Formats: sequence, C-alpha cells, structure tokens
Amino acid sequence: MTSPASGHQNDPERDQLIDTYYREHSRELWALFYAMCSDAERAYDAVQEAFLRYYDYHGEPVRDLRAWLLRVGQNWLRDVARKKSSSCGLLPELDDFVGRRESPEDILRLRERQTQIRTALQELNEDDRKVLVMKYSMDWSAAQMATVMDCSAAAVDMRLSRARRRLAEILLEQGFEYE
Amino acid sequence: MNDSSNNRAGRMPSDDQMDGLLRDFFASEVPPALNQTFRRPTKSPKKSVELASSLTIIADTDPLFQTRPRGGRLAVGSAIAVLAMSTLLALNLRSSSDTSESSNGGLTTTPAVEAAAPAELLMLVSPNGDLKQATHPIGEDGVTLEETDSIELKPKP
Repeated sequence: MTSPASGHQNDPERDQLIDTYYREHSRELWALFYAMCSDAERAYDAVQEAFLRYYDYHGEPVRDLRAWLLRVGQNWLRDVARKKSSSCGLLPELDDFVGRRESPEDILRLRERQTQIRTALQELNEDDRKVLVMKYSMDWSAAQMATVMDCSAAAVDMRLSRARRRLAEILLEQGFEYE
Repeated sequence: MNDSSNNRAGRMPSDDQMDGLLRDFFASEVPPALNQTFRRPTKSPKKSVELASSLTIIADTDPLFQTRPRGGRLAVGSAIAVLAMSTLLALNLRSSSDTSESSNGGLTTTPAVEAAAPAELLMLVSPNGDLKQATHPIGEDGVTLEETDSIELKPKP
C-alpha cells in the first residue's frame, strides 16, 4: 500500500488523497488502537494524531502508509499510557441526558453495562480483543481479519469463538446480568 | 463443585446472546466523529493573529497567566537584596555618626565616616602637605582638615 504523494503541504491533490485515506481506513485504525487501549476516546485521539503527523510530515516518501500510521498511533498511545498510568473513568455529564428519550436511570444503567463490558474486554489478551473489535466494530469477515492478523481464516474463526466464550466467562464472574 | 459448574454453565450466555451484546456495545462505543472527514489544522494567518491577540489579552487580565520568567524573578530578588544592604549600611553609618557626635560634641570625625568616604579626595591645606595627618586636629580648637574642607567658600563680591 503506497502513500498519497507525501512531503507537500498545501497541495490540494495530497489533501484530497489524505481525506480519502482517512475515510477508508480511520475506522480500522481506530479498532486496532481500541484493541490496544480499550478506550474509545483515546483510540480516536490516536487516529487523529497519526493523521495529523502525516499531514505535517515532510520526510522521505512513505511506502506503506497504513503501517506508518499504525506505528505513529501506537507510539502515541504508549507515550500517553506512560504519562498516565491508569485511565480515570469520567462521570457522565448532565448535558448528556438532555434531549434523550431514555430516562436518566436507563442511561446510567446502559453506561454501567458498557463499563462492565469494557472492563471485561481489558482482561482478554490483545489478540482476542483485536479479533472481537474487528468483527463487531467493523463487521469484517474472517478472511479480512486473517489478512491483518497474518493467519488463516479458520484460525480467526477459532480465535473469535474462543474470545467470545472467554469474555462471557469474565462477565459472568463480574456478575453481569444479561437482558 | 459439580453443581456450581453446572449452574454456571446454565447461566452461560449463548453465542447469539454474546453476538448481540457485542454488536450493541460497539455500536455505542465507536465515536461518531470517526465517520466524519479528517479535521486538519487551520492555517489561516488571520485566525492565528486573532488567536495570539486573544491569548495576550487573557495573559494580561487573568492572574493565572501572570507569571514572570525565572530570570526576571532573579533580577528583582537581586535588586531587593542590594537595596536592603545599602539601606542597612546607610542606617549603620548614620547611627555610628550620631554616636560619635554625641560623645565628642560633634567636633571630631569618626573612623566610620573616614571609611565611608575613601574615594573623596580631600584637598590638604596643611602646610605640612600630604603627611597622612589629616585626621589630627591642626589648631587649638580641635578642627580637623575634613571639617575645614566642608566649609563652603564663597568668592568675595
């Protein structure tokens, strides 16, 4: 995968290519970063950071832009994790409840469930988490995931099934209630 | 043990349940902003100037932003220290001068005054010339050279 013409800022053609690349790959990058940190906002920030660095990049032409962006985002996430050893969960803001059909109790319950699932995901190993994120946030097929994970589609299916089972066990241990 | 594992297995969600759970979870987990276009930094010089001027205004008005550089603090500290030292020295000189004047009736100069004005070149009027005896009284009334030096001489009209 080659990069859009790199090293030229204020180049409309390059800008357009970056936009196209962002539309096509930002979700995948987000999923991979999310598998690393289990934090949706931080993973999104990593995507933005990677694209911003590329936007400001003036060095040698990038041969594999996807790998370049992944590396930049992963390094950024590691730096952030080093500075901030533990993420602090923010309390829901009151503004979030305004204009929503659900009652505040329902919203809080939903958030609690989200937090429980997020915590359970953190207990999985990174490959298991990655396969679940790619499957459910991007709706990728086993063949697509196999390309990214550098293994066979059958191995991906097996890993997916095992990861789902393991997650269910962790949730059960946490006292998670299925609806 | 067997009962608990059977019980746990009974409560274990099915694959379909887990599938639905994870789909719902990720549907609300993915940030909506991700589906928008890439937000590149704006590079309008006008906006930059506006931003810079607004930051200056904040820095001028907000006490949180009113910090001085370390070099500035050091200079202010040094100036205060020098001022304090010179004030102390002046007070010390004055008190020494007062003490000597009160004890000697203000007729002789004190060593402190001599030490304080080493740079002043006194014009020696003694016929003996520069004999380093300027502090000794030259007349019966006990007037010294320094004191005669301080007398204002006015030209005759």
